[in-house]
Amino acid sequence: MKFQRKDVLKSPWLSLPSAFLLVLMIVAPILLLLSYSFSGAEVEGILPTQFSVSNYVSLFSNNIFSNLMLKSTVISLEVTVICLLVAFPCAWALAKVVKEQRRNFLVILIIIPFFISQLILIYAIMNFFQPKGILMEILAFLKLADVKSSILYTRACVVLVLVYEFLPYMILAIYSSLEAIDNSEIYAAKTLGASKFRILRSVVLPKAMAGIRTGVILVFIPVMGSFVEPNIVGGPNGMMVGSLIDNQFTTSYNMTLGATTALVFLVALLIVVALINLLFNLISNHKGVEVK
Amino acid sequence: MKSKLNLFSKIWLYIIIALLFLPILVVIINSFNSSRFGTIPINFTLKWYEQLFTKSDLLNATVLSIWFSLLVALGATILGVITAIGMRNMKPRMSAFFSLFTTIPVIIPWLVLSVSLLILFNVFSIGRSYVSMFFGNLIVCLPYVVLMVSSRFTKSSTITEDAARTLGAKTMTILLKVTLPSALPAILSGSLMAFVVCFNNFVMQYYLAPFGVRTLPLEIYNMVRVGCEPDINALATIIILFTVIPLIVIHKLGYSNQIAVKK
Repeated sequence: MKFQRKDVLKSPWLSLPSAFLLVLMIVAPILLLLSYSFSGAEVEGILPTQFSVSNYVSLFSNNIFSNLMLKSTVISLEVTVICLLVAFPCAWALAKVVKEQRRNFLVILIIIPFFISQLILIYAIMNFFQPKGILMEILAFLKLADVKSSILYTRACVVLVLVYEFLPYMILAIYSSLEAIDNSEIYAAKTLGASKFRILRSVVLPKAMAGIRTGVILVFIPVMGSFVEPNIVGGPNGMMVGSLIDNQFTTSYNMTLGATTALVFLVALLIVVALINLLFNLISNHKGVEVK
Repeated sequence: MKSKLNLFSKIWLYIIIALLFLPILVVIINSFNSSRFGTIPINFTLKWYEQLFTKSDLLNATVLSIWFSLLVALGATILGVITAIGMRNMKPRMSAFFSLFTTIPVIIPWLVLSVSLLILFNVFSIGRSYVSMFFGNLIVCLPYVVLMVSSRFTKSSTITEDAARTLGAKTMTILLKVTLPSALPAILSGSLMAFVVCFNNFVMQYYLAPFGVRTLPLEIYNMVRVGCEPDINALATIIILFTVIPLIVIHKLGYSNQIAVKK
């Protein structure tokens, strides 16, 4: 038998370069973050030499961090819930109501904003809301508000901008799960005399749950980490925990405290996400029992 | 299915789409408006475009961003395709683990990722530089290529490749004539995604760009913090057009649904 050389195209080792890159660029930096957070002094050379928990002590000694963390969590939950409530009817209409020929076009329309740079979207909103801008002109014309006032630089504006930015994610996530529901199941439930609410609760929601979960995760995580929106449109009351981390790295140059803040933020975020996942598991188990 | 609820949801959908596009349309209209604040009535002008192309820093930033994103997209595509070919040969559990591993850069908030990369590059004493900016953006663009291309590879069988091999084709010939062409639409969509993600990635560039170098997102950030400059309107209009065109290309290649699911 002739010896057959193993072909490179059949080898799993082709993935090695990017595995190496991922370890170097993801695992190593997170480990560095960990070691920096335990450094007792500003790091001079390559790695920290003095170890202490002083960064953690100073992070929790005042309640700036915990307050901002709490505020960010509340803002992110608000944004996520608003997105969910707004997106569900949209996704339903997209998946089940509009004509098939028009659906693809509408999906493309919803994809467009999430390919446009975040900065341009924020700029567009600012432009829209600015004093003497179009919205204020119209409101002033209707004698509803002063032309020079604006909701820019408030906490509400941060929420609004974030909803505007992340709504497409939610719509598309829910849409993809609703689209998978077989229409005949809904007809079956209807024929068997189920009310609209009952159909929604027992047929549609259990199937939509996977999409809702994806959407919630896709919106919640980036919103928690956002600092551009609070920095630009937040004003003094719109600061989020991301702004604090950003400040420590770009303004006060306190790398070790910044590393600590970023790490604690990451851990807290993972805990909140785990809790959200747990909540979804509880809901879907509950539904499962009910369907039986 | 006709009912009041369905009618409501349909009207709601159209209202929401209209609201999503309203601020964007206002930007486009304002780019032709001679008043700084976009006051009505609109006096048609092209002076902001003229200002953009003659005086503004925005154009240089855009050119830099385009070249940089092309380079990153090229890197991500080459690396991503090689990775996807490797993943196809892994045992199912291993490749499931690997694709999860690959998506980590998308899951971790980019803020945390970029500040820790900044520390990493400081340790290597590279600090903020083009090299660090390149690798930082590469690592967040890579998942999009890998996911898109590997979903294509698991679907297509390796039978044609085996046939070519039996007929005596060399590895390079198989790669160029069989493997890559069979996945071409996925590779193109993946590299377009990588380009767009890199072009728009503010956070990475904010932390890793060399001091004084401003890519487009950084330039816009600095301008917006100071106040609205009307030539941003003109640039935004051009960029929106350039964003919509690749999207239509992806749509024509038949990958729009996949993006919706993947992102």
